Amino acid sequence: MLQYNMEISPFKKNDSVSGVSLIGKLCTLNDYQQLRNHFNNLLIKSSYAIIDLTRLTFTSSHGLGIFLGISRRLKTVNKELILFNPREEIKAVLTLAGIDKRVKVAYNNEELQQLVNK
Amino acid sequence: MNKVIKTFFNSLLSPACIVNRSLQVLFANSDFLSMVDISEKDVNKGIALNKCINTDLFKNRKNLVDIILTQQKSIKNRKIKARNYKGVELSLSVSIISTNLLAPGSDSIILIFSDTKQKKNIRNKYKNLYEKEKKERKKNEEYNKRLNELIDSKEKDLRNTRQELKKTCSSLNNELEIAKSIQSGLIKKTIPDLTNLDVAGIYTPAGKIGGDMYDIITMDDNKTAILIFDVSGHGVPSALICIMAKMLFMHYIKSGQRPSEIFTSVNNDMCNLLKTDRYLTAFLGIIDHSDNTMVYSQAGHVHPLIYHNKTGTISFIQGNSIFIGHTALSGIATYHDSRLSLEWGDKLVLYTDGLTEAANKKSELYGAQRLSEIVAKYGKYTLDTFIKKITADNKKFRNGRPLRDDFTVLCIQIGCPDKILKMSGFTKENQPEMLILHSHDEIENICSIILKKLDQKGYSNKEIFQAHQSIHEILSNAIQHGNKYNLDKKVFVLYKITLDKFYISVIDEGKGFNYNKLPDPMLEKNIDKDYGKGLFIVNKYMDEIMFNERGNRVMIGKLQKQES
Repeated sequence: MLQYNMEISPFKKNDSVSGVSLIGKLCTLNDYQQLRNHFNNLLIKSSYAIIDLTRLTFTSSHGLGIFLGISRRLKTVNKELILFNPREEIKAVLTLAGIDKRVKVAYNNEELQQLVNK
Repeated sequence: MNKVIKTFFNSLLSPACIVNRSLQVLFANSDFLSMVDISEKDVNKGIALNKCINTDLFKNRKNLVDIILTQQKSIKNRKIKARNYKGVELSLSVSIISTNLLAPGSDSIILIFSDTKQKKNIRNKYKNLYEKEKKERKKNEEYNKRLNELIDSKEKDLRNTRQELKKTCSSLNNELEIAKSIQSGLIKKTIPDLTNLDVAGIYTPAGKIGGDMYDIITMDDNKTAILIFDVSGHGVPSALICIMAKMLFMHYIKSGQRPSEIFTSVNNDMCNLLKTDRYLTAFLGIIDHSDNTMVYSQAGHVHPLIYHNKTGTISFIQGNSIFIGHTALSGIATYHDSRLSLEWGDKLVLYTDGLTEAANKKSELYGAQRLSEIVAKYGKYTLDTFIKKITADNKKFRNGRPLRDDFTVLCIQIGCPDKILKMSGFTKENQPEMLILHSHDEIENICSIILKKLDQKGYSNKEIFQAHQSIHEILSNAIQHGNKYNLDKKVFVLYKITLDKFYISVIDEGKGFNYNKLPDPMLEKNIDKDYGKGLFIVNKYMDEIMFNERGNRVMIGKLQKQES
């Protein structure tokens, strides 16, 4: 039986902003594959793809690498990834690993609005 | 007379003599003496030929001498009628020739006789003998032929019987080999690495197959069952019962029952199925790794020993019940559970009576006392050495006498195996706990076991999160980069958590890596790369990070921050 520690829940705010919420822990091989597949198969019409980290309690460094990969892929089609509202612990990890130097991070709704309205 | 001439005449098969011109006998061979019935003395006295043989031919002496000596003629095979000087009638033929054999110029005559009657009689006699012999020979030949045929037939029967016997023996041997292989397949040769247990076992059957068995069964993450039993007798019947009992034990142990309940169930099943006088003795203990306690039951088995690591002392595990499986015990046998506490480094020595009842040439038994002395003497040794010392001492005691019964020893040490401890960076004094990881999917289970203990020891949420991140990273590295996702390889996780610090050591079975050559993931050129970030984070979150020389072990440590 495949083991998942994370659930992916898609959402769409408006025509220019859509994405997924990650719920749980991003730490098993199946979780990594699930997240990759989701973005590989997604036909992104909006300019921004958002990964909502509000309910993500843990991510391994491999998960961080997947964020970077998705971001790179979106940039090739002139779109952008935004990591939204990580918890304190996740935020610390994002900063520590330098992810915030490559991927935009919005720590609240205001910051998100500012980023998508630019 | 010349000796040569004498020998020559005596070797003639016919009567012969030499006479002079006066027909006086000068020499006669033994056949002639015998024929005319005179002695050598008569010849020496110069007996006249016609005194020896009365025949007309010799009466006319002048005529005979004239013919032979003067005219130099010979007479060949002339038949004569004659009598010897005793008047016995002779039927003779005679050949006469002149000779000067005795001396040159001496005129003498050789007479060679042939007794035709005697010859005929002899011929008949020999003919009869020959015929008889021929008949006998023919009879013997037929007899020999029949005898040879009989021998051939019996040899053929013997060959066939021998071949049949050989075939049967070979078939029995093959069957025994198969039985041996089935039985030895049921006995764990390589005991799996178990959480917080080190196990070593030795099993030597007295014959090809035997009635002893041991097993180690993981019941769940926290419980391991250890079983040893000994079926009465040995050989094929014991081995069959042994295999059946093993299956029954495994079935009931996996059902999660208590040892006494398992014994009751196995006893009832065996009584119902076997209905024989055979029985087995057994010891079954279930070790709970969360508190190192063991619930156990004994069924008529020899008492196992415990070596107490802290004190270096020995004790026998007490409490016993009736044996299992005898037809008389159907439905009436009761078994009891007992509990004991074990500590890190304690050794359990389980065995069958083949060990203590091994005898030397004086028929003295090895005994439990000698066993306990050896256990005490070598208790501090590693488990592999410990079990070898016990076996070697028993062999030395037997002094060449073979085993009378199956010989089984199972040693269990509480705490992680010595070989793993040696690699881990911990010491025996640290008494670390151990967990084993095979796949990436199990990482979070391992993390949650350790994190729960950190929580119990009062570590903060932040410290627990950082520990979680760090443990996950090093376990993931061990599975991915160390073992290359090979599910046959293991990752050993040893940890020690105290109120003020914790250490975690992770050992994989890979080739190792050079941790000094890891690129700095924070360099601008490396940020986009997927590797190196995990260990970088661990380095930031932990107070200590240490690798072994090979690079297949990483040990992390952190002090607990005191809340101000």
